[in-house]
Amino acid sequence: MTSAPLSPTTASFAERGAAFVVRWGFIAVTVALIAYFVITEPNFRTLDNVFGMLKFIAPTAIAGLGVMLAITVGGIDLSVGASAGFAVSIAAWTMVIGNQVGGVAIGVVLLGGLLIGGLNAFLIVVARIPDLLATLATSFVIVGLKLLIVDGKSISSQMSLADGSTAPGKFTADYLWLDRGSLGPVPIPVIIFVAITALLWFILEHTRWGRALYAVGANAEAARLAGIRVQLYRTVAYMGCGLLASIAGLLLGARIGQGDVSAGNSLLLDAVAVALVGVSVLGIGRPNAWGTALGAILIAVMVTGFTMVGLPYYAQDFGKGIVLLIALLFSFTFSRRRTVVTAGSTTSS
Amino acid sequence: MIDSSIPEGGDQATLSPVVSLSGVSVAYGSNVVLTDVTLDFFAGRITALLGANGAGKSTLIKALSGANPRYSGDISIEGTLLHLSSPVLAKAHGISTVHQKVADGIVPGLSIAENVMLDDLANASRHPLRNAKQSLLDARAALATLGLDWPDSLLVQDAARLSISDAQLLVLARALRGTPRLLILDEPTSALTAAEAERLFTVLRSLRDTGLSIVYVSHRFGEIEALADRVVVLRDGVVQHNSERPFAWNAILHDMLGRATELEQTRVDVRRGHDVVAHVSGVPLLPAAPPLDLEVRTGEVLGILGLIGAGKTELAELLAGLARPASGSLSLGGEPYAPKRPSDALRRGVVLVPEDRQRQALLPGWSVAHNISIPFLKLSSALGTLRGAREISRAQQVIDSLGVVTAGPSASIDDLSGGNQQKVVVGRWLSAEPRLALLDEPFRGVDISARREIGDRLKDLVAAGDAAAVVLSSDIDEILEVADRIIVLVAGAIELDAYADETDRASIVGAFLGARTRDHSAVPPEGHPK
Amino acid sequence: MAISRRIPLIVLAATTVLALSACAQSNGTTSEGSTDAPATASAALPAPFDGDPVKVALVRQSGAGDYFEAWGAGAAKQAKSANIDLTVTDARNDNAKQASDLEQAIASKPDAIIVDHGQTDTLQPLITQAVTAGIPVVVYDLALTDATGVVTTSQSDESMASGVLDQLIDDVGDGAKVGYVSASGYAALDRRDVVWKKYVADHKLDVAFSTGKVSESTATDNIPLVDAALKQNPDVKAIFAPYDEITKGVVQAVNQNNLGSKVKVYGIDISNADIEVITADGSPWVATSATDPSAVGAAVVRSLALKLAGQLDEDDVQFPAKTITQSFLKDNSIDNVTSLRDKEPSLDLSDQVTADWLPANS
Repeated sequence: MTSAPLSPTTASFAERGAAFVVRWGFIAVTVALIAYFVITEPNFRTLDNVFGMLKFIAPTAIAGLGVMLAITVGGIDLSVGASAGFAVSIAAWTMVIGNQVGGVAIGVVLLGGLLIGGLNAFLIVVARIPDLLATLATSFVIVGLKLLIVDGKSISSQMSLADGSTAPGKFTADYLWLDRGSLGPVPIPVIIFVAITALLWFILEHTRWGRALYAVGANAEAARLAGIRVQLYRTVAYMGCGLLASIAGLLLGARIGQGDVSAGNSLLLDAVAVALVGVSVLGIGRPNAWGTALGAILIAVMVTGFTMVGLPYYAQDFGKGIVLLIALLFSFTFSRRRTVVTAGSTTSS
Repeated sequence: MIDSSIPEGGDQATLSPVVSLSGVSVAYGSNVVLTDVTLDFFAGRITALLGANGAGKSTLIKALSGANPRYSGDISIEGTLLHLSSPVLAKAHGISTVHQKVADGIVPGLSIAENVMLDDLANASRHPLRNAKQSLLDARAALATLGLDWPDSLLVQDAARLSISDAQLLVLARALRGTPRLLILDEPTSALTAAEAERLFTVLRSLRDTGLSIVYVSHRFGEIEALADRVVVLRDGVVQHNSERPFAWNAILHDMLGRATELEQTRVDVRRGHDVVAHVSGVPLLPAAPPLDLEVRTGEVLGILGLIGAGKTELAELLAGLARPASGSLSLGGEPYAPKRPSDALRRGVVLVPEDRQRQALLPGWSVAHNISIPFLKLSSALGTLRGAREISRAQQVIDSLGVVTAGPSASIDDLSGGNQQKVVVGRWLSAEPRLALLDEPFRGVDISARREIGDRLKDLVAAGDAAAVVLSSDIDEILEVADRIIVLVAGAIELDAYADETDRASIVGAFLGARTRDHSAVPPEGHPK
Repeated sequence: MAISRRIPLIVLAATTVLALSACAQSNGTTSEGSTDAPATASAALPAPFDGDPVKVALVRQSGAGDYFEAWGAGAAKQAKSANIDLTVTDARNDNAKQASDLEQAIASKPDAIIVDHGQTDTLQPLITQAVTAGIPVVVYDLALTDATGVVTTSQSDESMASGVLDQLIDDVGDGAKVGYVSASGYAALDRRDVVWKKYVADHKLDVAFSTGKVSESTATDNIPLVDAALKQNPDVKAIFAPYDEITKGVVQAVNQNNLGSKVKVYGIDISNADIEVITADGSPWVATSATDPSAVGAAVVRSLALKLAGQLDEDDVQFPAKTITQSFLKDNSIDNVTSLRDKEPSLDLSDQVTADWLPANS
């Protein structure tokens, strides 16, 4: 191929070097960052801080895992932020206005997440609206619906209702345990985050259903001809995404302790970013659960570390953007393997 | 309906060619798709370009129209040697092309007038501001060359609203702007009705009479008989035939469909199938086609020969559960068979090796083993959990039985050659131990050894007795090589159904020809069988 | 080969992230680059300020907008002169983020924590947790259900709102048709809302519309809301918009409906940018209630410093407000907060929560 008088060893060294960078570069950056903060910031290296960071990033990571599912089947879901915000308000409404216990609120929220996922799936799979556009539209619908349900207000215990009475319920302890509880030293959100990551990793890498999801994303037509129910799997992926977004919302709601109407607004971009970073981690070139989790952890490390060294938040955004760009360079430019991410079905065909 | 009068032709010896090709070759990597083509195109002549799929027609057109500057050899225009490095350059030198898909030439959302003047958008020497009034005037002038008098109220309408035949005329008018010397038309009638086609022919004849040289690509012999002054046949990238009127149709078809040297290659091991495994009854394959009846028998390889648009792929998709019959019914193994989706077909033992390997069969970036196991995920797993060893062993069997050249089951499918990728796809589906294996153009882009290997495995499959294989192809040699029983499919109708040892190449070609000429009620060519 | 040429590029890109963090050391938040000479202390710093810098985490709900920017700058400046190493987090109105920020601040075991604004239900448990962990906490403009062991500071929202509303009643009289632009769920706005409801009832105001929201770009986001409300009710006499970011949006909406001469706008809070809007020709914004945000930010830090030095007398500190009218600003040719402070000395809070070692420094 090359006419340059390179000896085979030199050429293969360069190629192996490039492959090495693609495979380990991202992890190296993360490790270097962590090392830097551990050395310079005494507060960074405490166990409290480690769990604090993981807890802080758990909702973003879980929503990111949802986006990852959508990317796995060759799509994207831009409604995760709205779905999580919807979950926060619905949980609050169920407990504070409806005077139900936390378990009921959790059930209602998870059902709502599945319904939103189902709506997205219907619009994309049956109505054939491009995923980017469909989920953008549903995110507006979901936010609007949420505001209609709560009259545009943040729901908090003791709030006065339209008829002048006081709301009967409050955020119950069992619900708040989702954020405030812990098993030993490990906060509950961290446990949920790790458990979901491990479960999705197992499903995607080691079960036939996961393989089928990947096949739908890699070549939907080939998957269909191989007898895979492509539309069914896409539906399942979007419903899974809705479910995960609502779990992220449950954690957010428990953290905020009230039905903050603005909750979830800042979730979407971070969630999409960690899913995209996840594609490039380890040079796998396809969406994967641990990569997504690692992307989320990297963001947590950056935000916390940068705050500790006194970098203002706008510089943190810059840092996040650079990391995402590097991830995309790894996925699309440097990697030899074909990356299966399509930025929505609008670009395919 | 088609005017078959013999067009007048001048004395060729006195004419110098408008465009002349000398030793033009095109290769993609090591794959040579056009070899040493030497041709002259004369003013006031219509040259018909014929060839089966992959014969090199579109490669030749691309080189001529500047779309593929990476050709070797010489192309000269009116005696001046040029390198056609871009479509703009080709157009500037008077070579205008109308591509097959009319829809690709129309920009919806722009007006008809703007569409006529579309080339100006890419022309840097034009004023960047669009003057609506001026473009109306220009568009009217351009359409007038075709004798079209479309009112301004029509010209400002969205071009997407034009009927297909009017759109064809629009694209033609655009191609004729700047008075080209050579006009290339790629299958211009493929979307037109007979009356619309006739309207186009009238235009083309009058253009020829003004001295324009026209290259006309078509599969329709009747049209060529009615229109062309000369026929050029390409096969495997080589000019096989180049003759003037009157056309020797039998020779043309032989040159188009197969190598004469293989003509007498006889098959000694032709099998006779026994049980009917699949029955198609009264199903029209194409919207306008008559209902088709077809029996597929176990123990034989059925080769279905047809050109593009004959209904081959439609038949395969019908049986594989990708499409449902418009009317009529299917049965499989004596029971009603109405698959809703490929998984239904798979469950009943019907598999399809699809026509387009890259688009329909391969999972890019995946290993060979994972590409093979994809229809068998259930068999490769226990309680839903995939068992890598099962995938590897199935892949190893496929690799061994078809002689796939690869580093191993874990190698990436992307690293395999086209022929070996095809072996993987065929092997994937044959490892399902199907009752009915359908292979749509399985030998496309596949070298001769891979083709033999795949053919042999098909014979093994049917030799076991209770399975059937159907190979659908547009290549007569492929069919003669692999098929026990041969069906010629033309426009959704069976023109020939015979065992390989009961027929021969001449009869097969004849079956094609009979249907074609009957189709268009053109002058019956010499040597018409029966 | 192409790949080998790319390696330096990859390395360069990867190191950018590290370079970013390496730069960070040099621009810590304790210095806000002030040009004014700090006021000099007339006494040596007492313990714990006489040794290594005292580490304080400032956990903010939002740092965006004129008011909060000035507040933050005042706090940072005061912190510097008191030998406080201030680590600032800004949740950008994301309440979950603020909870995480506070949680991580507690985990980093600082000498004290300041919480600036926030949601009660969200922060109360964490503040209790901090108090239990023995970390002194000062909150600003955050209502707590359990303020045990916490120093609460606030602008006196009641005095702010009632001062401006007195002016409104003086201008348009009882029973006038008015509009209200605010949002709920923010402690200060909720407290101002209580005052508003009382004035509506007492003076039989005819409230033609109530709208408004708080977002990351509050001023811009309120324009369409008020615009629509004014299209519906162009005959309102006055609009009460008790938060200057909202007020600015209201002024824009009034102006773009050419109602500048017919509708009077009443706001709360003040900043340089606000003064410019109020004193602009034909501005409908006729009165606002002001504390000097940078003076308040500094006073909150001083409250914390006195608390740590054991010199704070009360655990609830309120900073008084003044009602500032458009005519006062115009008559005195005031065009920024500094000259406002000159003409209205009571704003700089130089007599509030100070000590001889801790002069007001904003």
